[in-house]
Amino acid sequence: MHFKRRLYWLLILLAWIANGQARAEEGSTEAWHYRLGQGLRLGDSGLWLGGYASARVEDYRQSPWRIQLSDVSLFVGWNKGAWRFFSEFEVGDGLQISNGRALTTGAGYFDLERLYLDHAFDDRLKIRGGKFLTPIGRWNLIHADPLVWTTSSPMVVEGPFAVHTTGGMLHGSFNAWDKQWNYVLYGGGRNELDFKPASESKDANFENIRGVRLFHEAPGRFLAGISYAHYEEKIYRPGDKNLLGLDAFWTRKHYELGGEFIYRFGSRSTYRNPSARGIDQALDDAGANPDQWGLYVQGVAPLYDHWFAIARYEAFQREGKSSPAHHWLGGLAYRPLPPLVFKLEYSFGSDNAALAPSKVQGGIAEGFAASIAVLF
Amino acid sequence: MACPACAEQVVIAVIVGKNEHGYNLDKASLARIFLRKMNHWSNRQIIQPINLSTAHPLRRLFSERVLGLEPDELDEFWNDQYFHGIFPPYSVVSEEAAMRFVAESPGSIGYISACAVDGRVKVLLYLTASGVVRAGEGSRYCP
Repeated sequence: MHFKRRLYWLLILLAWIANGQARAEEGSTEAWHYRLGQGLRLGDSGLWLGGYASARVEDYRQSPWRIQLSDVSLFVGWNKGAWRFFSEFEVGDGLQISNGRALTTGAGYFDLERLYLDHAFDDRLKIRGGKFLTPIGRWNLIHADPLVWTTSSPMVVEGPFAVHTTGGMLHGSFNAWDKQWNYVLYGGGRNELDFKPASESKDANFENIRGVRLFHEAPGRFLAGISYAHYEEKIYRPGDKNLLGLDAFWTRKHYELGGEFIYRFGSRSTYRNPSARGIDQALDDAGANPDQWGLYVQGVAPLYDHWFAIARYEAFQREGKSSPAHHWLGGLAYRPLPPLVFKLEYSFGSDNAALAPSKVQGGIAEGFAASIAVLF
Repeated sequence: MACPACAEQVVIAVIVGKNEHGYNLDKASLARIFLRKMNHWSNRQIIQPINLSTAHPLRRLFSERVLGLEPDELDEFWNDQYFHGIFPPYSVVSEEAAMRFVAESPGSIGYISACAVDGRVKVLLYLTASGVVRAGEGSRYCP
């Protein structure tokens, strides 16, 4: 009851903030400046603070319902001349209540999501060092709850590769074939800056990544990219892996269409970790295809007065399986302001036995999910 | 600019400081500058774009002619950029303030109505309803 009351007051607070910021001006040349969705800029020091928060309700068929304060992330950054520092600190699953269990903070964890320093020599060459989002596809680079239309993420970004890389990056843009292209070259070793508990960390499964991404974009309109990465999987499907990804995105007057495709190939899993072998033993077809592939296509259409409809189709074939699982999602989103979004979705799948025994952990979930997310 | 016909007659001047030189811009580059995708001049100097405030009628006209994005589409674009620590250009409330900022800040670029231009700044481009007109040395375009 107390939780519901707090959630109610939180919603009122968010609505009040949203109303007050609806007509707020963007960054001015004045001293301290705050705008919802643009953070607090501390004058001309170059320092700024911001972040986002999200809460979600999940009622999936495979698991008890739960309500979570799923993310509170704080951004601390500094931009000065050719230098740019960015950091993101996250408290995940900080509060949780689920069917038959009291409100708890026991599932909460702290993580350093990102921490890097950029130096731009010019637009053609920039260098980055630290922990950053692995540049594969589009979703992984904008995966924050306020920026995506659904509470759940597509399977292709939920397991085949590390969300983060700790290492170095060269990136920039160049002109070719009468167009501007953007490139990223990057590499990383172990996950030295991963503070998540092993049970929560997807990154702990991967090491020694080397990758490249090339994309062309008309900012705010269109993006098409291709990604390649080579890395080592440590726990679930051990071995050297190669991943090839394609992604495209188009938007116009709030209509959106986008999708990603990945194909992962490499050495057959060697199961150096006996416990991991045990988890998947019942599911593996001996001698089956060692490759993995997946895709999603998502469309968004404006309905009326800040309401949007979302539809997504996914297919995903795990390593060792001979057929893919399919997943469909339909949802609604209410975005009264660009930094604030309320989401409701229903998803269901077929051939899900092709995935993990726990379908939720395997990245596929059937049932309802709802969430609220705000950039602050 | 309450009437569409009036808006069509407005010519926007894209300005830099009078001592800046050698910048060869087209409309696509101008859009990349104001969307913070292009951040360096050809001499590696950092570009400082300055916007007029969102309430200023010339701001909307500039967005339509150069960026091709509506204000709420731009808001969504800047939300995505914010997630990577990238912010929209600073904005000022008047054309005089924009001209003063550009005149006094090396590497800066802004826009004002063509008839408001004076000797403190140099015009790189004129944006008319029908397209882009490259500014000649010492040219003035005030219909």
